[in-house]
Amino acid sequence: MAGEYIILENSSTYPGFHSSSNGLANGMYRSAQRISTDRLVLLILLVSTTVIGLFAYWDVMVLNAGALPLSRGTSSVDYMEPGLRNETLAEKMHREVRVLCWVLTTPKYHKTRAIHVLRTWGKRCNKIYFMTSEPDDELPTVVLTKPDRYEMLWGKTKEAFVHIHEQMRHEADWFIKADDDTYLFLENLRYMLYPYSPETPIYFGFNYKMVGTHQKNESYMSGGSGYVLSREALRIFAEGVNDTTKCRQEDDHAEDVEMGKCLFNLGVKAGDSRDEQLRNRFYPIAPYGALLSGNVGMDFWLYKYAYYNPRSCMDCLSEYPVAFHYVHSKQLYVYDYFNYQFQLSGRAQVAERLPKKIREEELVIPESDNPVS
Amino acid sequence: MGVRPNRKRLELMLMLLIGLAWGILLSELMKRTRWQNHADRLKEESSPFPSSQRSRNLRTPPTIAPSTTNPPPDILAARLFNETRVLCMVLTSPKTHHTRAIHIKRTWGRRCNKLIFMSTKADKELGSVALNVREGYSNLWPKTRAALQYVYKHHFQKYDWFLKADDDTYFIMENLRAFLHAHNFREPVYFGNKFRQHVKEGYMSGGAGYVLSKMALHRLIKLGFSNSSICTNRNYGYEDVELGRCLAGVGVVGGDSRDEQGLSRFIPFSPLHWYPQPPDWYQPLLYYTSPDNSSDCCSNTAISFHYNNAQEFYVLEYIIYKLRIFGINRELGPLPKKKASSRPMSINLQTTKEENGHIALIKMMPRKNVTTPNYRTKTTSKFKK
Repeated sequence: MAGEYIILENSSTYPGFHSSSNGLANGMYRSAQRISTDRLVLLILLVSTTVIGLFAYWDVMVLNAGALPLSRGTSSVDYMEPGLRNETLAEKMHREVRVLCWVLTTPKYHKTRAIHVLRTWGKRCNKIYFMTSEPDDELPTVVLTKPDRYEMLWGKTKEAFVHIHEQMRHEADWFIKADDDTYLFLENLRYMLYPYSPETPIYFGFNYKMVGTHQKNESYMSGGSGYVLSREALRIFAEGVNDTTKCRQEDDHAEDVEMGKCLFNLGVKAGDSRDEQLRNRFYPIAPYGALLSGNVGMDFWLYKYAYYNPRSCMDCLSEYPVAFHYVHSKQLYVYDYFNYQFQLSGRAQVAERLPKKIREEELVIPESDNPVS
Repeated sequence: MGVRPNRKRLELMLMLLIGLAWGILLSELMKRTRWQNHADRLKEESSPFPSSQRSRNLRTPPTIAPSTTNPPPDILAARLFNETRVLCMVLTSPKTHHTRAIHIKRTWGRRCNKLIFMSTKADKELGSVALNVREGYSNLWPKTRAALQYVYKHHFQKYDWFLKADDDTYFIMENLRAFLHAHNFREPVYFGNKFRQHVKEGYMSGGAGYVLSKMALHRLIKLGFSNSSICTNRNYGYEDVELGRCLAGVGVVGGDSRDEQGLSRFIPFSPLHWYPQPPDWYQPLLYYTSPDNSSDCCSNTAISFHYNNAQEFYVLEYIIYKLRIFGINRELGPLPKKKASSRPMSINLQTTKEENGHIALIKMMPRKNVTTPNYRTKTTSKFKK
């Protein structure tokens, strides 16, 4: 009762102040509450919009980054036939870098050497022909008119290349000559040739120093491990081989030396076939000899005649060799077994990619660096 | 009063929109994270076509759980190295320490978990063990016995498989481990190229090398070498024939090491010299007949070759481990599954010592009645060695 009385007294004593104070307090409270709520909502809205905007921008950027490969892939898939969609790099190279192989042989060796070439590495050429003096039902032969003697090797080689240019130059981009005791790794050859255009007048092989009187930086390619001419080099050779001032007209003398002289005089470049670590890829000997030569002295014949400094040791054999020489017919199957059938469990899968194309004006051929003479 | 309901409605709509936006955002992030993992795995598989890889990435949602994928080959080889521990025991002689054995150490011997050269003279450079036996081809059996006893005494606990090789044998240890991974070293089993003569259960060619499981070595030493009626302790005899007889006597099974096509993995000659047709002496010795009379001698997952000279070790090293064909990345299949124990093996595990001796005695009786002429064995050994 006392409390009640006190409250009533206060109210009656200051009615105006009380009413005014209450009104002001209510007004301030409402105003503050409204402002806080509005600000909070606005803040949330702004933050959310910003985050969503940033995410959308990032998403668009990612999509744009992926767009070009995606479209290229899509078009590539559309254009490729269904069977080729899962082709390996080797199969792609087989289509894009066409290699015609021609093998110099003789009827004496048709059954003991040439047929085994056809059954092993020969089937991986885009085209293969055996240049000989008699036809053979089991071999795709081209019969040459030159007599079958070793001294006529240069004559046979000239005739073979001219014949190929006249009859088969549209069948391939590159034209490689090999012996019937050569083993060629066609996939590694295509890998080596891929950066070069077949319209460049160039040829590759194992570079030897030129013999006899010669100009500086003149070399020739080993006949045994083979040499490969571009289509342009083949055309230049076929059209210029009858020039008496540039190429030997007689049929005798060493085929590879005369070939080197002729091509040099006709302006065909002698390319450097070594890999990025300057290791040879054409070997005029078999791996036995290449490995054994690490144990011989500096009087090893290869050290003397090689155009580029050969460093024969275990680490100096290339991972992607192109050619071995002095491989007898049984050994051909050994290379096929170990390189195409044999499986090494857990072998590291190398991410292989194609090298960059080299334009003709960018082509640089190093000079000889072999100091042995 | 009219303004208040409108504001509430606006607030509710705004909250709903914000929630939707956040949901979409998080959903996109989760999806992208999963795609990223898939793309990474595709890269590890080294697809040859980056563009098709990208399109495949976007079109095909990931359906494979990460735990079921095979590890990359590098990790696979390292895992096998640790999981399948192989001790390599190479029989050599002092005169071939530096013409043959040292080249094993520099080539395939590096890939053994442990490499020991068993000789009759110690060699610091080689790290060979000097066994107390006489040297010579006719003493190969006592030399092999001493070598196996040495290995059992000093290195039995640390290794699962025990490989014996000659100093002109080349082993591809990765293929050996991949093959052994499917088998259990606690089973009494050994592998090699199984020949059919002399021992009814077959014996493993010494030249191609053989590998004993831990249990096989244990039984051989504990049950066989202490019983001269099971394992002869005479100072002569062909090492692989005598060992085959011993192991059969103590219940060790001669396993089948051929591949799915029935081709041999342990090859008692060198394909560098004989390929694809094997030498003439080989086919009559084989325990298993060739399924389709194919002319192919060797498995694509070959494990060992015999009759290699020193330079051929390096040729094989180059051809097998370094030489590559561009654009041909042959995908290896998954590791073969562990084989369940066959019933005969489990029965053998429970066989007691007396029963083993009894069985061995019974098995030895018919052999005495059938005597092989001397000239035949000599001819055979000449070709084998």
